[in-house]
Amino acid sequence: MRAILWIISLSLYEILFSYLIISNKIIMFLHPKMKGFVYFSIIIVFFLILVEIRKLFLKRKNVTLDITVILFIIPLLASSLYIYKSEAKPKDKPVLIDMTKKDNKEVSEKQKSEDELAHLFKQTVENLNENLDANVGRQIELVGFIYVDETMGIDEFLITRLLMNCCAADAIHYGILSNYKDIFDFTAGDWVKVTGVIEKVEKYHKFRKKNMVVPYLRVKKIEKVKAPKSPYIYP
Amino acid sequence: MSKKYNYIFTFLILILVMYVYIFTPQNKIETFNVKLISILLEAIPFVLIGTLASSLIQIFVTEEQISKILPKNTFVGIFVAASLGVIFPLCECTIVPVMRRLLKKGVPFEMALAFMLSTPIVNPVVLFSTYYAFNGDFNIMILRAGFGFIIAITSAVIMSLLVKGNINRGFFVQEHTHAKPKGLKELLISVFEHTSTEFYDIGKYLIFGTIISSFVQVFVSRDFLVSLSSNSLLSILVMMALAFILSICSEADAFIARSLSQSFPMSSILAFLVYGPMLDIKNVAMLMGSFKTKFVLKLIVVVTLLSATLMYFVSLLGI
Repeated sequence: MRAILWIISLSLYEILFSYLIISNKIIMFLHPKMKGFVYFSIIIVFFLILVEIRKLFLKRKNVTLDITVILFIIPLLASSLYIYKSEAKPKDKPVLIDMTKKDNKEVSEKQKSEDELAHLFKQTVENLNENLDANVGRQIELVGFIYVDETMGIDEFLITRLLMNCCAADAIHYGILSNYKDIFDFTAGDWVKVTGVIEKVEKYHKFRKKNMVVPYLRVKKIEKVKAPKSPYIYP
Repeated sequence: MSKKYNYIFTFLILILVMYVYIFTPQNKIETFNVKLISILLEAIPFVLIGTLASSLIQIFVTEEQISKILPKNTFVGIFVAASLGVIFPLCECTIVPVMRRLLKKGVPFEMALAFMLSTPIVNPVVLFSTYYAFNGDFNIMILRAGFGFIIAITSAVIMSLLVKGNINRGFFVQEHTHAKPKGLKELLISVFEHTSTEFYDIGKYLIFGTIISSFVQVFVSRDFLVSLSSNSLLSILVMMALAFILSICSEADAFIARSLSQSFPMSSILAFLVYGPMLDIKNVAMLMGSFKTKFVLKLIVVVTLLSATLMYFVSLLGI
């Protein structure tokens, strides 16, 4: 019994890993550089399933039921639920079925520009943090999502993306503190394109207990944009 | 762990997961799912590597060979064991199955312990990622390796004085000592059979630990923990708690540390970098599965006290 449940859960893991790789959904959880390790797991788990099945045919004295095998099933349920939920969202939009060459090209171009936007975002923020003085007064444009927490003043928000170094559990908000007076028209998590001018302000740093100079974006124009496939930046 | 405890733990985990799914808002369920899956996706390949390595040791290395190469002097042995990590790029998920196997093969436990505590910190992959995460700051890398090494050795020595007698829960009892398999096919089958048994054994504790870690992260936010730190000792303890809860791989934790390095003094960043690879929720769960609870608790106390004290002295030096 234990052996059968074990084979079933291994097979389910095999299916989950393969699905995540094939659909490229893996990038929502892992940095693309880690893909190789998942391929490796797929191969090893495949062999594990083979030897377990072989064992099943050789001897069947192991009939004890070990309830802890349930533990292996929980993450599977969690992930299938998550994937189901994240797939349910874009369904209200018609999916392109026409697979002519032109469409394919368009799709790949769009994907590329999404990657480029993410890269551009990272570069801009990095540049602002490193050479703030040289950038004061410059007009910039950023595409990211809105993040708010209790340390920010009224009208303030963070235009941000998530920086993933290895897996989604280590992702951190990466962005620039911004100010827009009608920001209440938007909600946290909205994807927006902002245009504004860079300023330099002193902010009281809660943890360092002192004032620090940070870049500050005085937003002039803000518009909603479609959320990209992935909110993450992969450095 | 004995069967009774296994049932109780599984039952508790089920209640915990059901609680998350029924009583928490949608966005928290999503956070829970993302943390759970991503930590597992990150850890499973490395646990597989560890169990595979353990199976290979089981089949190819005999107890006699091990006892031949072991240094006779315990302290030399501990020192050598802690230095081995410089050659073996094993992270903290990989190390637990390998360490268990070495113990089984007759390596004295203080040496196995020094190996387990030090390797995830001093190995080249982790050091390089630390160097890279801190924009090429050599000091952090050297300090991390140095303090990790010191704490690993000291903990191993203290534990060898504190612990007497049998520490394992009788893992591997189900294994028979086979004759060395003949032929490639038999060999492969034997390797994968061992791997499968061990992956089952360790995997459930990995999942158990990951679920607890995701659960705590859903209800205790990083920002909340960070806001608790008001002086240097507290920030050291807070950063150690954070490392313990986050349970991220030692190859990635330097990036988190970097993101917090503006808000925290260097000593607490070091505490995070040194303590996390030695102990975190998922590792403790895996250790609990293999060793007696009393032993694991002693280990936690010793490593925690040592790290906190050492880092506090570092902070007094003004680093």
